[in-house]
Amino acid sequence: MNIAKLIGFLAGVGLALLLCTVAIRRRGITDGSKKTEYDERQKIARGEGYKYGYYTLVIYLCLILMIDMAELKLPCSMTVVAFTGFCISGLVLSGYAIMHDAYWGVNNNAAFIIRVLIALGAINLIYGIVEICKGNMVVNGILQDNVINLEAGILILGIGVMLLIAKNRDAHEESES
Amino acid sequence: MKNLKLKAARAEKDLSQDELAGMVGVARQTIHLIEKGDYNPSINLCIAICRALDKTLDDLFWTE
Repeated sequence: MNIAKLIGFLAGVGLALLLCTVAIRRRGITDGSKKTEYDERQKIARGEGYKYGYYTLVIYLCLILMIDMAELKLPCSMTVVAFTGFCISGLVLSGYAIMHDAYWGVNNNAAFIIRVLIALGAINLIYGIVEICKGNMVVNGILQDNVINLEAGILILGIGVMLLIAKNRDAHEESES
Repeated sequence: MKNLKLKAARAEKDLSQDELAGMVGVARQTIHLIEKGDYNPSINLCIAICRALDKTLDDLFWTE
């Protein structure tokens, strides 16, 4: 067991939670004035989004299970396998909710959320690209754990771009109505 | 099927989708989808819309 890696991971998650808490408090979201509230249609859409995200994860895990049963060796660690599943199902859930105007903050904090997501996604993506350029991404035919940054970058930027598309579509609909 | 009766009643009151949505406590997109006929609202939401527009359920949601 790699204790240093585990501590690093937990420290990263802790720091991310701390930053999110500070950002939320600074934006005054905790006082309820900017808290996202969903109407009946949005609640249904979110439920369907979670359903599709869940099915996606189940299908992904079945594939991994079949690969394991066939005793095929994946060219990456279990960390990468788990994070990839998380990213794919997260993208399905977020995509469905965004396209049905039912994503967190989509109606009252969209511009702020889009800016934060694009910045976070770009940081992760740049780090991943730098690692590829350095030749650290694939060592001896094995995909290294730093591919996680690339995946996170794609996930976060993907959500940011979908939010941007949904916001533009919404503005277009509003001007038409 | 498009709900043109709702759109006409809203226009009669000179309300935007956003204003009507605010009055009945839903997102603007929900009103847009009801008018487009892409979402069937619950009876509670239908009643709230009727009250906001001073119409009856028959006026806005009954199809011949």
